[in-house]
Amino acid sequence: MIELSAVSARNLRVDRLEIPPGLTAVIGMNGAGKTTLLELCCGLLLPDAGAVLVDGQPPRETDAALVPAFPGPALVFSRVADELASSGRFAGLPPDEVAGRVAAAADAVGVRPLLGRSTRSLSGGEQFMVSLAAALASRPLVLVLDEFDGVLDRESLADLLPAVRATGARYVLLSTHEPALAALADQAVALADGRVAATGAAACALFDAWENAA
Amino acid sequence: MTAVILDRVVLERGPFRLEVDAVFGPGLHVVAGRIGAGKSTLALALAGGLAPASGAIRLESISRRLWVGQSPGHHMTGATVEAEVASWGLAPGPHLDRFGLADRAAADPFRLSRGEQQRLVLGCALATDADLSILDEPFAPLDVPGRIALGRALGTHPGVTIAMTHTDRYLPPTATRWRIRSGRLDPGGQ
Amino acid sequence: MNDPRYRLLAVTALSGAAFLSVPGAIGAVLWWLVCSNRTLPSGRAVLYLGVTVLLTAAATAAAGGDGLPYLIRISAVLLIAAYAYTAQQDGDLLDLGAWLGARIGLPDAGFDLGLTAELALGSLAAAADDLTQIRLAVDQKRLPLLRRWFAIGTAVLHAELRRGRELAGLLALRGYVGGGTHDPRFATSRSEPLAAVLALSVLLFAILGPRDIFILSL
Repeated sequence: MIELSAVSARNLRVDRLEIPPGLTAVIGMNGAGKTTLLELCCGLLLPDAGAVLVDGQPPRETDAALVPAFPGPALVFSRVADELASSGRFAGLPPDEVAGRVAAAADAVGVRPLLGRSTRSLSGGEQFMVSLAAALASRPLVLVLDEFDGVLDRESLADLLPAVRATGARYVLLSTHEPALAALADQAVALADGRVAATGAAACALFDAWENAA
Repeated sequence: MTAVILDRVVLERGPFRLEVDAVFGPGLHVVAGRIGAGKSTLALALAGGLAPASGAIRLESISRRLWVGQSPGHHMTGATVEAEVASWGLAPGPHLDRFGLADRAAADPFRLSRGEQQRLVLGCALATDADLSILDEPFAPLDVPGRIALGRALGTHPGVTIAMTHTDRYLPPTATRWRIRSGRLDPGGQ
Repeated sequence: MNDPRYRLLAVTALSGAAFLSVPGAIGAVLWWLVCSNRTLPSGRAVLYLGVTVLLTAAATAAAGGDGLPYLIRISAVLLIAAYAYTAQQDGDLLDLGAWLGARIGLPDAGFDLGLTAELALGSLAAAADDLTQIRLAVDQKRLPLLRRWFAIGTAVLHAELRRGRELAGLLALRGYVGGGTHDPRFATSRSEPLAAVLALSVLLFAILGPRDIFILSL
């Protein structure tokens, strides 16, 4: 369980929130605090007050990975294979094991054909896929996808979602503006003005509320 | 008649190649396609930022052309949000209200969130009645109310409007669909 | 030359030779004609560089210095630099850094050096891409010249700073604490060691001077 207690960070104020394992959709309007919540859960951001625990530990002491909103920071290395291998190499794993992780992650996301390419020659969407594969290659406990559907078309999403679920990441959190994607998740958390507005089915119902209000 | 004509155009960028032989008339056109298909490259070429490897892109009766890329931060030139609106040749007051940014008038545009920046840039771009508007993934950073508003604005926008996007939930039914498939732009959607 | 190690050796030797003396410069140009891919970078940068060098040489000559030798030597240095630039392949710097580090018993430092170099090159490439888009965006507003430059510069700066911050976060999440394991495999063709030796000979030639070389060979 991911537990947030008395958390305060940027404009987010969370009294108590528990996120069970599985695929969780985080929804909300721009500025509601989705990115803040996601960054807290993977340890990129530390709360000003309160505590965030993933299975009893602070997120920074677990393996967490983040795939940022598109267009993101692009990629660190000039070779796609190096990008996927980076987390393994940083951990000091032997080259064979690193190569195994790279192959597995590349297959999961479907970027095998891109492995020999230069990252600079990739299109924006391909860069995103490589970024996702690099995140998967780190075998994270918590996988966070910020604005997952930002640039992916329906077919690519349909292909990717099972792969993302099957990564073995215990917690997968993704933020989205697409009701269809939120409906595919195991659970949903809706944020409004920095507070948790609803969870579960009630969260998805908010999409209808927003659409009817306009 | 206002139109953009792509006469046997071939776009190349490294290993990538896209063939386009099409005419975009007045109204909303929506171009979809899978990752890596080349939507952004086509948008760049239409904006005049990429010369075709062969063929010609002709603009008929188009005196003003606008392009909005995927990074709204690239468009910010004003010191404040208010100055930014003014830099498009628009009166800040009424427009800021429409974009829902009236309370951020004095803010530094670079401090806005991506969704807010997108509302700002798109709002200004669509308010400037250009004959040709090219929008690269305009829906991506917007939330549901923002997407609904954009869909409505696109439906009534004059001139030739070409939007590269796969988000079709909030598009007006009058949109002409196009699709990039196997290195070619074809009419019709999915 | 596909092996960055031999290429580094050759480029260093040839640059030194070209800088040291006119015979060295001529030797470097000959090496380039024989051993390199003989491609030049395209674009206006070449033109700007060429004009700058010509002007400097002319100024030096006019001031009573040796303009022509300077022109020859600096042109040769630039030619070798152009070769290094066009011959570079993806991942070269990471591979080189890791290999050098392992050789001198400081593998982590070597890896970090390679990583830093890759990051630097990546930033340059990203800034170039961003610049194209930013110019396109800003030019739509018809701003006065000075404001246009300022706007473009600010936007590029913001874009690169944001990218840097996000990259730092990404590296931290991937567990980067300094160093990493990397065992690069180099594809060395058979002609490369020979080309490197030739480059070293050019350097030797430049140091000793043609007269001494010919005396040695008698």
